[in-house]
Amino acid sequence: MKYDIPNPDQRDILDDSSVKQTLDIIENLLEQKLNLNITTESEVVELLDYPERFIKDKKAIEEIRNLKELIIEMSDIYYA
Amino acid sequence: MPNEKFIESLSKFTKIPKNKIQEYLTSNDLSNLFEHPETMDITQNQLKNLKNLLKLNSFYSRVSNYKEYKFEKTTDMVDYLDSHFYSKFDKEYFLTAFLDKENKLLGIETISTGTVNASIVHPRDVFKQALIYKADKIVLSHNHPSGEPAPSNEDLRITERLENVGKLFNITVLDHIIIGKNDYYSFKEKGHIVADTTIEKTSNKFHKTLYEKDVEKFSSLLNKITKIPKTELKNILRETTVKNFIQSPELHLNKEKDINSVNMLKDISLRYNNASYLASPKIREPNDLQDYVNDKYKNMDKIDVVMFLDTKNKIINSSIIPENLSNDDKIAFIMKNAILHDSNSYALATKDKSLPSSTNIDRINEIQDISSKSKLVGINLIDKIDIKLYDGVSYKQMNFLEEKNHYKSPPKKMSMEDRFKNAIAEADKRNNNQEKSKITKNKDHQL
Repeated sequence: MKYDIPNPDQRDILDDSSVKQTLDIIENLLEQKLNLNITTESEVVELLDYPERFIKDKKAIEEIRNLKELIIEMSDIYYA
Repeated sequence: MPNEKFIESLSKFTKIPKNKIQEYLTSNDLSNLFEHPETMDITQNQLKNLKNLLKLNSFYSRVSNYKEYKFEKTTDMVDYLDSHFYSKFDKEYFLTAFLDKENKLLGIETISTGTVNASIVHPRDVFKQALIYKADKIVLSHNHPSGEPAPSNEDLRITERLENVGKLFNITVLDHIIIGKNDYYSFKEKGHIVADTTIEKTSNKFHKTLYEKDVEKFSSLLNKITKIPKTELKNILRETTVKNFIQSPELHLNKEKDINSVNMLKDISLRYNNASYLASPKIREPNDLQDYVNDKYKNMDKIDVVMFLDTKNKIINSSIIPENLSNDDKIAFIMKNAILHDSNSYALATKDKSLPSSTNIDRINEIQDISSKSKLVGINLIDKIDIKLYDGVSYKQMNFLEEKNHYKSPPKKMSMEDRFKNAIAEADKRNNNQEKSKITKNKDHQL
């Protein structure tokens, strides 16, 4: 069985306390404070998959969708 | 050359001008840019944005790839854990993976971090997360910064303890995996853990029954207060806890009117909780417990109550224990609530007019069983009192509980008459004649 895990030399794993760090990254990239009460990694993924579940601002929702689309396309290139 | 939209998006989030990316791509490919972002002549801020995008991409790939994954053998879990410990060899980290009945990953949490050669883990912290995730199974894991994965005696002891605590909640400890630098140690593979790893068809009865009861109870209550339809509330409470729902109603509701009514409830409950915590007594002796139960549950004749205490022996909260629970279910109920209230000790009380005048051996055995099992979790029973009318019997004072279970100050035995005398003297001190005559009247009535 083969997992889709990046090559150990290339992967850049954030440590677990990084839920906040990842949210900071998202906020920095969006240049917008989201003020979300997110505590688990799964919730961060949920935020990227379904931003409308966490925020109401339509513009921010659209921005997160664009960001997610970009990182998915990056995966196709990066790990191809 | 990647498509126009991709370059536009990359430029937008990294702030690298579009034409600069296009120019770079005439002699390089994108994977080169992602692997060696420094090769592009960009500002520090643009480089930071690009690296942040790569981190986010790595995070998303790691978490979402395993989101729907079923762990079927130890090596599956070792590969998964290995990616978590990749950058964590500075000290010991204790992680727990939470799985559902089909071994599907619900989440993973760092439970504690320790020193270079030991991590300290409390069963309460492991099982608090397991209860929040409603996990049926868990896999424990920690790393050995020395690189050598062989378990210490303490590793063996804590594994056995966590396995036994899991049994209280019907949560199976599937394995404990120690990650070394180039090797791992699996307690399951070495035969220290004999849990059945097969994928099960039915989920944990404990979560299901108690959880469904909670959903029913809280959706009815919330419906009465907020007027939000009960079906909508039930659907929400099956997905999240009452606490999370009340804290962030905007995540679950669409109508502003509904959000406002939950926010009002949040405000009231915050004020109530703060006030009731400040007013809640410090439990120093059996009489304090008796007074609390008689006051809070004065209209109830026959109840079993559990009171959860903090480190200062103040009552954080109390719950009525559901009737007709087996002793094991009662322990699970008490421990679940103690863990979720972050309580480190608790007291029990039975208020019943028809209690026999002397405590029988079955009741003593039952309480001693509850006490010893909760000690496994690291949560201590400080006392159990039986209240028949106004007089209470303390199991602690009768030496039915171990010496270790203690009140913060030594228990004092005070008769009902002395307590009335003290109350009258207090009222006297405050020159409160009205209160004094009320207490005297009560005294004459009760003694």
